[in-house]
Amino acid sequence: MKTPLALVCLLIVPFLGSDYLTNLLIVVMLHALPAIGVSLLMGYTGQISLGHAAFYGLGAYGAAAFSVHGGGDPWIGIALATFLVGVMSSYLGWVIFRLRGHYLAVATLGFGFIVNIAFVELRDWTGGPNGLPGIPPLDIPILDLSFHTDGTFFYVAWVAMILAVVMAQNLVNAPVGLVMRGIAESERAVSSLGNDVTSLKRKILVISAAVSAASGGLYAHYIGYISPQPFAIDFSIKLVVIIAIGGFRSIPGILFATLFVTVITEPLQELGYYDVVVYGLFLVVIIAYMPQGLLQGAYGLGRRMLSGARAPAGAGR
Amino acid sequence: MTLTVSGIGMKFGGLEALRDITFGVDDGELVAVIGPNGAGKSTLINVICGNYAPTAGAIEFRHRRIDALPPHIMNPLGIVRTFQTIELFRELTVHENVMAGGVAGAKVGVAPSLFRWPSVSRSEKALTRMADEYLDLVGLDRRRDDPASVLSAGQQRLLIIARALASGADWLFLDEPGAGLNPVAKERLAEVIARLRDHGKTIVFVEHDMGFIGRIAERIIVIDRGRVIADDVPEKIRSDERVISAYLGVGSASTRGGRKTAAPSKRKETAPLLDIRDLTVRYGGITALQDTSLTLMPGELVAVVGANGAGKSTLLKAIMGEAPVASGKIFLDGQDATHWTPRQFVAAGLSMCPEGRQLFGSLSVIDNLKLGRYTQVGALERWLPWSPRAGHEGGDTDRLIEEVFDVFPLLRERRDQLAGTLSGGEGQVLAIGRALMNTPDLLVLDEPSLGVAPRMIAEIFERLTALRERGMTILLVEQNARAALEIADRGYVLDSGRVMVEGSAVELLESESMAEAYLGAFPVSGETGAARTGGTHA
Amino acid sequence: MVDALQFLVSGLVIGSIYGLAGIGFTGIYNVTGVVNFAQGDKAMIGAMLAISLSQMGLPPIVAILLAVGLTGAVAVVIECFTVRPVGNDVWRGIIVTIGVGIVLRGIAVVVWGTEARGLPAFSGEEPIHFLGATVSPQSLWVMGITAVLAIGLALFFQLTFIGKAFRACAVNPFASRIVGIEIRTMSPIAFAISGVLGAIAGIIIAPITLMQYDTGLLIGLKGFVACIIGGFGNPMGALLGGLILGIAETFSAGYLSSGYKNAIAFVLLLGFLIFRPEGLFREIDSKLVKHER
Repeated sequence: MKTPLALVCLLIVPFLGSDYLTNLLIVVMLHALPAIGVSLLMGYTGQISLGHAAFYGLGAYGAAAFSVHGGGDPWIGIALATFLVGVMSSYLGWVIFRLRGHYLAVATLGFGFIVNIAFVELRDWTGGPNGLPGIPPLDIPILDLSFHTDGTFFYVAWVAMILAVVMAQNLVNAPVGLVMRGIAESERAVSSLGNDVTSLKRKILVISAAVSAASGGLYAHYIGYISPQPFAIDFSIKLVVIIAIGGFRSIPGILFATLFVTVITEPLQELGYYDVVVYGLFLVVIIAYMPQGLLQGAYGLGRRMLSGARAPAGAGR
Repeated sequence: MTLTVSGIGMKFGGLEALRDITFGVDDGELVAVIGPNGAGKSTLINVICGNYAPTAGAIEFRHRRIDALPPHIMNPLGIVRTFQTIELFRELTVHENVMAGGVAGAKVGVAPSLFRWPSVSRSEKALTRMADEYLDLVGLDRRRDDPASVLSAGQQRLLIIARALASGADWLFLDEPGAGLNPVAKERLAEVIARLRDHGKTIVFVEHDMGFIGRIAERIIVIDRGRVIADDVPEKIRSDERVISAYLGVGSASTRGGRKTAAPSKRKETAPLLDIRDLTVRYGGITALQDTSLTLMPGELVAVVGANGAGKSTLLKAIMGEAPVASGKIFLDGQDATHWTPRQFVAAGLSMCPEGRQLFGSLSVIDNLKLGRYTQVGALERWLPWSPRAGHEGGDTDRLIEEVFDVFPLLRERRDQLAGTLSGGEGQVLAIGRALMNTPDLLVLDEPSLGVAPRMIAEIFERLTALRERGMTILLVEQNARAALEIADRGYVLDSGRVMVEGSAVELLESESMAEAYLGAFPVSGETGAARTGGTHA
Repeated sequence: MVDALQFLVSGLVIGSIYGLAGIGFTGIYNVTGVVNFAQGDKAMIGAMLAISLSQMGLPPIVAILLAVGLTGAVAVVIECFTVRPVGNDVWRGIIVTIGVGIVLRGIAVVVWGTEARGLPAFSGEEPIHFLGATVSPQSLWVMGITAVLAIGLALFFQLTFIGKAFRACAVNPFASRIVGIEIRTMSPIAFAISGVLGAIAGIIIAPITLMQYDTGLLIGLKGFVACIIGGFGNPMGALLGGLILGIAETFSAGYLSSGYKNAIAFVLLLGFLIFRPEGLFREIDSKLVKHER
């Protein structure tokens, strides 16, 4: 496997001396967490979500409010926010998993909107549209470690990402992972085999929401200042773009896609909104013409072109 | 009795799918549930297995009421089912499919899975072993690591049985386990079912193929129109008069009318209007129609009969451009129509009255009729709120509506009523009227008697005879074989996707082979049931 | 009381826009089974085009007609290249139309920038006083045009063959094929109609609320909420749903807090989805009555 090796190699990045690269990769690693969360729910279990930015944002605001307003320890704040988001998403799941397809998509979208409006409106807690400044950086006093710089925070993000990747891989490779993929294909069959489908979906949602919230908490303490805008619906959609490019059901694919989307959108952002057009186009082309994801799609396309000369195309799907 | 079903009723809106169903099944039994199309067999399985809650009655399993429990609660009690539509996990391998079946029983939680606790690895090993055993049992061990989607239909059916077994339940409800299988695959399935029986499983299955059922079942429950009409050993069932008429239908003396024998077709020498040559249709791995040929001369009324699952509906789908034709040709009026779209068929003068009528429920009767004319209306007229030709001769559409009203006066009375509020028979009449609006050369009817009161059936068949006398060519597909053949010139009997017999309607009515196509040729008693060899009654 | 009347009028105005967006959703959904998440962006595109064209010196009426026509054409292009390859796959339909929305918004930013733009009111700004409430002439235009469109569409659905074919597709897609109606021809028509409706909605509201590249997103989502309230698949239900939503919004903004105005829509959405997913005025829909086979 090349992925674990690549992940270990990442550890030298802070020593390369490029602040830009370090910063970029921190963002990539932090975004990989909610992307993995969406993949577990949407890719593996087949339940569409257009509201994951809300979990990410709740984690960020929860952790930030805990340390800014409560003066609590940031780590406890992140843990507490993650836990509370998990509990909340379990109740949310009880409500929304009565719905399927379009209805589920729009319900999650609506949830994302409501949460974002709350970020803007609950000014006492969130600072409203102006945002919440002064979020303390992370450190571990007992070990005399501090993560105030990009170079040091990099390792926090790295550990978080590795934990998320390992746990997600464990889950999808475990027997339960088979049932998750079963739900995506036939809920009736899964339920006839003795699985409580709704309960399972809710558990996956909890994991998916918690991993997003944890990442949001880390992000808040990394960046030091948060405002509602990065947690709006655009981010939820970006996560969907990422898992579409990554091939929906592949953790390494999603890591790659997170990197890819971040790398192409960062420089394009300088030029104005071309980044939005580009990743929108990616999404349209992938979904309409390469339903197995960009990598698989491009691979399949290449293979078809190569073999096209020899064998008659056709077979199709 | 381990399972007692008492007085079960099931209503969907106004439709009563099951009425007062009562029977019991004991541990270790092997029971077949049969009945004509629409009898309610699948609904019964759905009700017992918790997919629907019955609207009346009670079900007890091992002395516990189970009739309001959802499927995932049924499973730990010992009940598992398979689906007619297979419902395979196509993205998993064969082995993973079976493993997935055992996950609920293994009780590996989601949280332990995240951290890969030792218990997870242990149950993974146990599941792997169990899955291998069950694959062995159904004979799929060699396909272990193949993607499930590449299996043939027969193998997929066996795989879902293995998956169901892996859930640990010992009562299996199989919904049409043999649908779409060729004889060899059916043989394998019969062996597997016999083996399961020897392993002490209780099996209740829905099937159409009477030969298959006769070979393996020990007891047959026959359902017709939502009721149990017979419950007995196979030998008795076959000679049961109620069963035969449920399947073959009852001839309606009135439709015999003035016609004594099949009228010789007046234009025998002309080219056929519909000519189907060696047509084969496959859905995925399932062959629904095999090398079927059929011709229809102008002015003929031809009946296609056969039990359900025989391929009748597929044949009709093919002549509407709705079926994946694998090989063979369809010619309509001399033109190659094999790959036409439905629209092309309609525009070329073929009208379909589909099974179940398929009306536009929230549109009025008159709008339903108008839509029957859709392809014949000019592009401009479609966009205008009135007919541009209204001035001349009352407009084509309006004139045709009057004609249809003349044929079926009851539609005139209900012209502004919503189609969804019509009774079964009235709806069927409207479906025929809508088809006539296309001024078809060829009128195709799929099961016009299904769900229609007997008095109405007689009237509909009378009208069909009248249309035929006016020169219309009619292809009539019917399960009610006797009624259909009484008005037809010629008939084809389909069985397992092939034409088994063809001939003049009169010949077919009297032939033995027709009953066989419906009720199967039972093996000589004594040999009955591979299933019985070594079977021990619990 | 005067407040209430004022809120009612502004609710009807904004509700008309949601209703028109909702009708656009319905038209496409009934024919193709796709919920077009880019529906609201057509309103934005229509309005932006009209603004640009009139700034280029075209007479307002010409600019508006041209913008409406162009938006309809864009909708047809979208149908051909994105929705058609996806077929009736719900999942892919959702994501692909979201992608289309992203592209449209991105293009809008590239072409028109991020600043909000407006159209001059159709007939002056002189407010009309009515029972103590103040009504701008443009509000009357919005309500009038919406009413005309609604009546026109109702007649179209009732009287023409194409309109009946639309209803037929919604009620029974299989039977529609059997009588020779093709999704292939109906689907672009549905997209064109919804594009035209969307553009008109955007253009008539542009003089009241300014248009920005992302205004369409909210209009679209609220149009969807309107559909849910009215019962998905029922065009007149969507219009009524839109009016109800608009009124709920203005009243809550007036009596509670304007910040939560947008939240009302989504609270209603979740409430309806969970407690009454069939909406208020559901028609008979064969897609809901599943017969076991």
